[in-house]
Amino acid sequence: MNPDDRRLISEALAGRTASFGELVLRYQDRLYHVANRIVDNPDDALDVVQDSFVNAYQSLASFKGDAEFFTWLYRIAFNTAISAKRRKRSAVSLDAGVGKNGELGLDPEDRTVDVAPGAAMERTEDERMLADAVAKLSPEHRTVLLMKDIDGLKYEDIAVVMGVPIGTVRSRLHRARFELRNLLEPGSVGIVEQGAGAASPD
Amino acid sequence: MLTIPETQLIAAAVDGELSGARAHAFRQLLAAKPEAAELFRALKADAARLRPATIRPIPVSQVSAVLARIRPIAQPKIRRSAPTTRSLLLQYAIAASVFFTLCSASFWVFTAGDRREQERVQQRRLPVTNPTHATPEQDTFAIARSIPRTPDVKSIPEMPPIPPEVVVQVPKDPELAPAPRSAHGDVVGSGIIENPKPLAENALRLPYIFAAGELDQMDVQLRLKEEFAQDPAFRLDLFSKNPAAALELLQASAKQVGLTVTADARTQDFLAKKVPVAVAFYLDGLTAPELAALLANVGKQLQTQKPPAIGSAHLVPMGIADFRDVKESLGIDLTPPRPGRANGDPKSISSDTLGKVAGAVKKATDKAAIVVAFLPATARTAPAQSKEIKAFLDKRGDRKAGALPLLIVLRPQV
Repeated sequence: MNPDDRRLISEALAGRTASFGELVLRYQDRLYHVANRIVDNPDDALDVVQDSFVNAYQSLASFKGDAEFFTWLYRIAFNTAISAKRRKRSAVSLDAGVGKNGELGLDPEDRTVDVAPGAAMERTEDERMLADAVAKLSPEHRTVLLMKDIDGLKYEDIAVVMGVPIGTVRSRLHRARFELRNLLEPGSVGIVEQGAGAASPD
Repeated sequence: MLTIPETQLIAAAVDGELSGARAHAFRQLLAAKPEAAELFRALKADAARLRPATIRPIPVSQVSAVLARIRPIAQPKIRRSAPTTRSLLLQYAIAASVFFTLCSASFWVFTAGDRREQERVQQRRLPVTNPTHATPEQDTFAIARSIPRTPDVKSIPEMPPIPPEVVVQVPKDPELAPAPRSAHGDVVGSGIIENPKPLAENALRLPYIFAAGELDQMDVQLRLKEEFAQDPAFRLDLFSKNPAAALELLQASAKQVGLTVTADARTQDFLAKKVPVAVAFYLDGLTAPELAALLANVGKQLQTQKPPAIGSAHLVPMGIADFRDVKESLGIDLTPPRPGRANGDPKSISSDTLGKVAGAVKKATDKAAIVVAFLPATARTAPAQSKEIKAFLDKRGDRKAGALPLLIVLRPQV
């Protein structure tokens, strides 16, 4: 763990709230980026960031320091953002009442539970194509791909955040990359031969 | 056309998560297959397109809002919880036990005098068990008479007079001790020993401890060859902070010397789940120079890694415990024959000679190695239950002359 983070955490635990303020200042941009990508609303993202830092402060004593502080914070923000998104979807659906086809507004399938990547991007044509392709990925594949390429997390960190083994992360990333390649340029990746020892844990 | 393991290697390279051995394999793949290089470039470009050039700053800083919300929370204070019923009961129990102890001690102190009197009375009532061995000083009745009587003791009836024949008369002149025996020669010194027998020599073997990264160095190689010449089987403990990478390195080195490496399914499962377990890498198809070459390969590969996957190494001759471990884990009996029973019971030529010859002809004698989890005795499973171990035993065949069994134990280092 970063020695500065360690010092600031120990000072915050000793009662110096200004040290925690330094941690907020240090990570709020990255956390806002993550939250905005998940909830797809700048105002909601601000709330998620604020709630995440408060939750982190409340459970700061339980942070053991065996992982990076940002990874721990990321996990809290990820869960907070998903909860916020679920709450908002439920509220919107209840307000909407009965849908066009007469079905209830509550949507049992939460396919966009984790990300809506296109909304926060600049919509040039190239980026729009990329965003469409990413949106077509399955939620599991999309999540690991964005955590890796956008948030720059390591395999171990993604495994901790998602609560899955590292082998599953590796396998999902491998599939996500090839799925995205085929979506961007159909047929660009041929069917590969089955090799020995290709069993994947996912 | 690329295989799935090759595409996995390329994806891991795009992720930037290749270990030393896999990075080497990746470079070889790029050099061998142009389509691999093309695919790597395409995937890398996709990743770069996804990655934002800059992270936009948060529109409104949350520092003051967060600080305003956390100030009322008493984070650093260690709050003492209100005493529960259990803690109250515990306090009462401690107070009661202290009170009971004080009362008991007071009673014991104040009744000590009475107890002493009771003991004296009991002593008076005790009969003399063997009066013939009693001296006048040990005479119970005499002792009893010497004690001044207290008013309580007066109620005890008067004892009858002691008959004179009971008292033992001590002889005035005791018997003297026998005279010392006569000694021949010098008692204090041993004297000169004529034609002494030569003393037996015992060689003390200490483990050979070295850094695994120096395995290809000349001095280490010479020492390894010296060690290998002295004992019939060896165990090499390798300590690693990254056992998975170390195992990959070992497998790659083994392949370079023509070894076929098989991993037990249970062990593969452990490794996939990253269970911190020691792993045994057993091989007995290589001669001492071939083993030294294999270990030199390991050393060379370790030098390309930063940090190296394997730290220190300990080489020891196999002992009884190692023979038992190999037998229980792999079903291979390496125990040397006892002296005098080297040839076993004599058998007739016709009993099973034909079967042995036929079996030896059928069995392949490939150079093979097996990777199994090196578990404690209580957690081991029978080797017959693992098809990989059975396949290894079939492939291994009979050990060729001069081959040296080596058990490499890869131990996770905390």
